[in-house]
Amino acid sequence: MKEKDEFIKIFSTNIRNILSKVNIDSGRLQEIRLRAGKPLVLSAAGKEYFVTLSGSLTSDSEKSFRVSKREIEETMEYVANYSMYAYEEELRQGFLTIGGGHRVGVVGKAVSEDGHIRSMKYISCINVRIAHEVRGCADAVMPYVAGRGDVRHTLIISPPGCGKTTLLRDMIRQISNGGKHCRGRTVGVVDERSELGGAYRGIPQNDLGMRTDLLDCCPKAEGMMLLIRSMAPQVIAVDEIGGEEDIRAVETAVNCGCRILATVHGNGIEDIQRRPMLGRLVEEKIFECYIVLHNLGGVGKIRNVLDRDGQVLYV
Amino acid sequence: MFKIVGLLLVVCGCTAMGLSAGNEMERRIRELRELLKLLEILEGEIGYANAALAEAFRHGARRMAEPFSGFLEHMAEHMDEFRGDTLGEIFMRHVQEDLKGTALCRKDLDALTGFGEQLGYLDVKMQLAAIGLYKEQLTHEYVRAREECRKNSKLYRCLGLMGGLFLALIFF
Repeated sequence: MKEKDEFIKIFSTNIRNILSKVNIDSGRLQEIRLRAGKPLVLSAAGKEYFVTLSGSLTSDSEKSFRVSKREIEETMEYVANYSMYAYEEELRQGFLTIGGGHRVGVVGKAVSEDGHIRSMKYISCINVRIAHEVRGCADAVMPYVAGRGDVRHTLIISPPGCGKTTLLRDMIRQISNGGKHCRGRTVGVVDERSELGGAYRGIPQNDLGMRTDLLDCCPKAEGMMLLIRSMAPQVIAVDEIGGEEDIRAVETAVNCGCRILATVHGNGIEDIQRRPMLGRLVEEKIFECYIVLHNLGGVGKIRNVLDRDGQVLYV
Repeated sequence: MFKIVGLLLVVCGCTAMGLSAGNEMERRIRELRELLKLLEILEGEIGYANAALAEAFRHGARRMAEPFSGFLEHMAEHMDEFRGDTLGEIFMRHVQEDLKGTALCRKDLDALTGFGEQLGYLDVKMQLAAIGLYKEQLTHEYVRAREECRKNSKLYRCLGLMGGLFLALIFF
């Protein structure tokens, strides 16, 4: 890894020195895990490695460098840029997004109030998930999503970690920029968890296209309404819909003439049909295109593409 | 002839010393007022914009006069470098380096350093409470400095002139 890699900077000086000596292509890197008193762990291309003090990768945990509590604290200072108070809401959700769109998951002792997490203290585990843009990963589905010049209401269905956000991001970029399938459209993105745009200080770190308006860290339902009122989007994109108010906002957006691109957790259209609110959208045939993903044979594999009647368009 | 010139120089030198002492008091008041302005800016940036400290310092730097502008800018730069220093250490270092030419006394600089150690942690409410507490101390100090200045600055200036004349008389 190179010192110039932005995310290296967020680690404590000691861990930064070790990681800068690791000989791995950061393009393959998926996660770096820090746990107090435990080995420094790195995941790349689906494999897990322990990192030694000299920066070499090993499968022997005994040889691994062990992360101290102080190093976790120092790392947190850098992650939050010495301003933990500014990330109260993010800490409540258990993660922060840093420059480059990388996600830093944190756990420790949760401080609860009225049955809800108010804050997190004594942070003891940090998981840095490296964001990767995969340009062109939506090429195969674009004819179904934006064929014949029009964008269809599309739902991406996928189990966790199968690349639905990456696919949605590329779809947004292609629709926003325009191309051989459709002319460029104004896309409004509600990025509740800063995963799509990976915005840092309001600026998207991932390429979402030239006609995209990004609303960062905003609840989806409220955000969709705000975008319709203020930015007049032709297409609205949201990640991981599911709540009652999300579904109502989707219905409103559809009735306002916006096209919808959304993702949801599930293994197939049957899972979605079983959910009361989402099932109603399927029944009413609101979505014109379903893209189902799975991770057999690699992350982000398309199982099939279905039309509004459940007919298979692509396998 | 040389004697008269020498005596005039003594009178001028002493008067200048008196004037300088009075001006220093006024400069300290201006600088305490700038610090109060800094606290107002931080209060707004943290309380309303929920800005991180480096960002708040940068915004503050654009709205403040030197040397405070440079002090804030240098701290923001240092914070973005992640060199392994705590925020308290960064604050202390830049108070020492960037504010050494000010008229602020040791006590003022120590209080500012102590304030820096309170920043960055806990929640927004606690940050605002820390700012509020320091603001209270600073306002108290500002009022006292103004009172002292009102009482003493004229005195220092007169003392300078009178001291000069007195020395001139002795040497004459």
